[in-house]
Parts: sequence; structure tokens; C-alpha cells
Amino acid sequence: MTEDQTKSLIEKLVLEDLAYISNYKPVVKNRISIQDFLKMSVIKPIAQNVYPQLYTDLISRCEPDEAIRRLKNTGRRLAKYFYSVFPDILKKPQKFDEIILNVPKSHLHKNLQLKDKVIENSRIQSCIIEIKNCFFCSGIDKIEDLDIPYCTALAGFYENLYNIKSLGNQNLNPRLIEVTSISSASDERDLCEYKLIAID
Amino acid sequence: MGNLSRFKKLVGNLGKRVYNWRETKESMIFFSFMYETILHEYADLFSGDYEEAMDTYIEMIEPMSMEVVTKLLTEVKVMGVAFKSFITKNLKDLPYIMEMSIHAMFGSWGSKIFGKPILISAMFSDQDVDTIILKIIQCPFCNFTMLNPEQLGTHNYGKLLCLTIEQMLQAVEDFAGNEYKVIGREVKCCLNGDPTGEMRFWLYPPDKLHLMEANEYLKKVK
Repeated sequence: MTEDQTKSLIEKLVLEDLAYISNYKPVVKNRISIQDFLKMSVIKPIAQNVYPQLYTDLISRCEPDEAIRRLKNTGRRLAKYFYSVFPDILKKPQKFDEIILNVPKSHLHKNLQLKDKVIENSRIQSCIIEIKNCFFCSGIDKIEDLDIPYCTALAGFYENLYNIKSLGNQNLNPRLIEVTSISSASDERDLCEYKLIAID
Repeated sequence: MGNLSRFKKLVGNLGKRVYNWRETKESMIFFSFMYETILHEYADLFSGDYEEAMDTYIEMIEPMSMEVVTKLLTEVKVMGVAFKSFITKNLKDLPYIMEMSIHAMFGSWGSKIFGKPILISAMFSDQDVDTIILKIIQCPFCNFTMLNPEQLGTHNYGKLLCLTIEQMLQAVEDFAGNEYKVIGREVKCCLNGDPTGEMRFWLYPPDKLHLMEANEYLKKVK
């Protein structure tokens, strides 16, 4: 896929997500308060019960590129649901770093940072997102001999967390980013890494 | 009257709190979002068939869910007291064990999500087998989704939660040495317009397995 095609595809997906967010109307009327929902938690063995199967199943069903696309899709939706349920966070003015770091730090994993930033004309061109104790990877038995990083879903999440906010608020620079998973934590190294690049 | 003494329950009440407090916890928001996003991904794989997506999803999760639940029940120790030491053959202790497990999993939110489990003895149960009824007061799965429940066909949206509790009860009964086959269904669901959700768990003894065929709930809900 060329750069332009990637950009158009990402933009199309983000605009669809923005339409979902603006039409968001949950079916259930008497709902849990947002404050309660924000505080609710479940122990890790239960929370981690669903993703390993999805990962192994998609990898066995699909070609690698297709599996990556689908894993990233699951992460993209997480960002879409998050902004749908918490529209105030979508509207809140935030800087680049805050958009990428604040939501994950509050709800997924605390040890997360942006490294190796390349900035040109005050605009971020690329950086590495580095995570310790990843929501998906920490505390699970590693699935060996697979080329696709285990927490690829989160690449879609970070990408959409920024892109929805950018196109939703219309004045962010860069306008769109693409995030790819470089590596997931292993027994030797508890570190997950993603490459973030500005594409528009 | 169950076999668990008041003292043992006191220890259990403390233990469930300590266990939940010590265990690493994850955001329920992302857990419920994860559940929904995976369902959509499978529906997409199966050309928009959400019922087939749910079938595959559940089939996929079932073995790991059983493993996790069994591990929790049989390996966890709190303050030197093994969780399994609370398991008795007496079904009257089952609602307490359920409540304790729910608290261990969800912490104090457990009592906001679920009502108290109620045991209906076979004599009074409409299915002629011992039945546990568990109300869902506030469902963290249904509450924020836009999913149309009709898309799920004969499944209800809280199937994962129902399956986890069904497997927990099965693990408890297996450990206790009772030969029940535990079958659970979410018979009421907020997403379908019910004011609260409700799960029912039927405990079929080996000589009453044939009664499953007459259980209307099992015909209506997968």
C-alpha cells in the first residue's frame, strides 16, 4: 500500500468512527454512572482471559498482514468506544503527549513514555512509544515463535486515540499518525515498543 | 443450614477482601470494551453474522476460562487459608461461595453489579433441579454498548459472564465431589429491555440429566 493509500484509508476509518461517536446512543436506559464505570475493576486473570485466544486464533486463521489489520482494528475500536462513552475527554484540549499518554496511563498501564522524538518545524515527525508492564503482555505465558507482536492491538488503540481527537477537533498538527507495533515484552525484556509516525 | 460455620465465613469475608486487594486489577471499562470489540471482529470475519461470531468466541474462551476459574478456586490461599477449604458438599453453602468468589473477582463492585445469589431447592424449582438465581443489577457489559441484541440471535450479550460463573460453579461442585452438571443461562438481559439482568444456574444430578430437554430456557437461549 502506498503512503497516500494508507493515509486515505486511515482517514476514512477515523471519519467512520467519528460518525459512530456523534451518533452514540447506548441501548440500555438506566445505566451505571460514568463515575462508577470509571472506577470499576476486575482482577487481572479474568481481564486477560479473552485476548490470548483472539490473538492465536486470528494468527492461525489469517495471513500475517490480515491478522495485523484485524488485531489493530480491535484496538481502534477500543479508542472509539472510549471517546463515545467519555465525550468530554474527546473535546478536552490536549497536547500531543497528553493525548497519547493520559488515557492509557489512567486505565491500562502506568509505565509508558514517548522516546526518540523527531521534531521538525515544531511538529512531531516520529517517536517510539515504550511501555513497561503492558496491559496485554505482563503476567501472561508468552506465545513463542510468532512474528506478530503480541500487543499489536494497542498500536490501533494509540493510533485512533490520537487520530479521532485530531479529526474531531480539526486543528491538530500532525493531522494523522500511523502506529505500528515493533516488539512485545519477552521473558528477557519487559518492554513493548511501537513506532509512531506522522503521515499528514 | 450449610456446613460453613460463622467463624469460617468470617475468615472468608476477610480473605476475599485481602485477595482482591492484593491481586493486580484491570479497568472494567477496557475489559468490557475488549469484549465488544472482539465480538465485532468475529462478526466481521463471519460476514456480519453475530450469532456465529458469539458461538466461535465462546468456544474459544471456554477452555481458558475453565482453567483460570479452577486455578483461582484450587490454588489461591489468603492468609494461609486455601480458598478450596470453603468448598463443601452442602449446596446450601453454594450461594456464600459464589458471593465470595464474585467479591474476589470484582471487589466491592461485585455487590453493585450482582444481587445476592439465591438457591432454590429442587422441590421448589420449576425445572425440578437445584437452581441458583443471580440478578445482575448493573451490567458493565450491556450498559454502554450500541449493539442491537437481535443481532445476537439466541445468545444474550452477557454470555461470557454467565459462562465464567457457570464454570466456577462446575469447578466448585467437581471439587466438592458432587456429580452435578452445571448449566447456566442469562435469562434476562438489560440489553433486551429487561429492567435487570438475571442468570440461572441449574445443577443437574446424573439421574436427572434428561430434564435438560424440558428446560425451556435452554431451548430459547444458547
